[in-house]
Amino acid sequence: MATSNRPLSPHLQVYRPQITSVLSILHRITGVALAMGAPLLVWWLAAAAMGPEIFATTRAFWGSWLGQVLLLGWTFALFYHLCNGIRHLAWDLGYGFELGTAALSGWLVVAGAAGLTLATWLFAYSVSGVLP
Amino acid sequence: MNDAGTNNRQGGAAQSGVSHWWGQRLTAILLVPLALWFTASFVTLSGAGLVLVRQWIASPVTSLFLAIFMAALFRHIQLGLEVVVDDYVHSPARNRAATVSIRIGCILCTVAAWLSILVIYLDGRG
Repeated sequence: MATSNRPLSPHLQVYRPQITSVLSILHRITGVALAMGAPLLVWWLAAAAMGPEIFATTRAFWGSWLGQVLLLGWTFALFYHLCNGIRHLAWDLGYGFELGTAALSGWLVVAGAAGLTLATWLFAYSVSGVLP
Repeated sequence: MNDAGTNNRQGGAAQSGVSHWWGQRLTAILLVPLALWFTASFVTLSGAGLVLVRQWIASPVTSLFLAIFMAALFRHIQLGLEVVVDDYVHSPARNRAATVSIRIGCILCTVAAWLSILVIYLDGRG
């Protein structure tokens, strides 16, 4: 079966980006990013199991600016993927397919993810005492 | 008959049936409360030393929830990455290699997480 000369479809680049399509690919991008971060969660557990020296090394990394930027990115990715995942579950049940509703729920997901990310980091800094 | 040479109509084109779809949804539903609980706990522990972290993990409720969280998380990751691979990796050999690597990686991560939780739990008992 010759497949090499078949036209490829869809040509995504000819479509104007819309809130629904941008959020759709963002769900996949955040999902893959979270999958890349998940083994580090295991590393955190393993370091806690292995003892003070290894645990101190991992803590030093997460406290560094690179570690903090990564954690901030993963916090937003987690809340976005979680909120948009609930949107997907509603679609699976047959709700929210109208164009206006799908756009509105998309913006709500973005706002929710941003709000939860901000709240989490304000709470984290208030607990650890780095910021007032 | 289909490409795979089988005649299993319930299985669909990929022969995995609806279990993949359901697995992804069920783990997603489990992960909503578990991820929120874990994030809240993790943030509360920010700045805490190893003693407090191990104390938290060693409690029976935490270790049980953590074990379920890790299993559901890596199952969800495995199912999700498989869909991504199926969408972009069309060569059967590479697709197979990527899928097998993902499965092995997810199983290793789950086992490593469980062992770590178990070690801390047992240490907290003794």
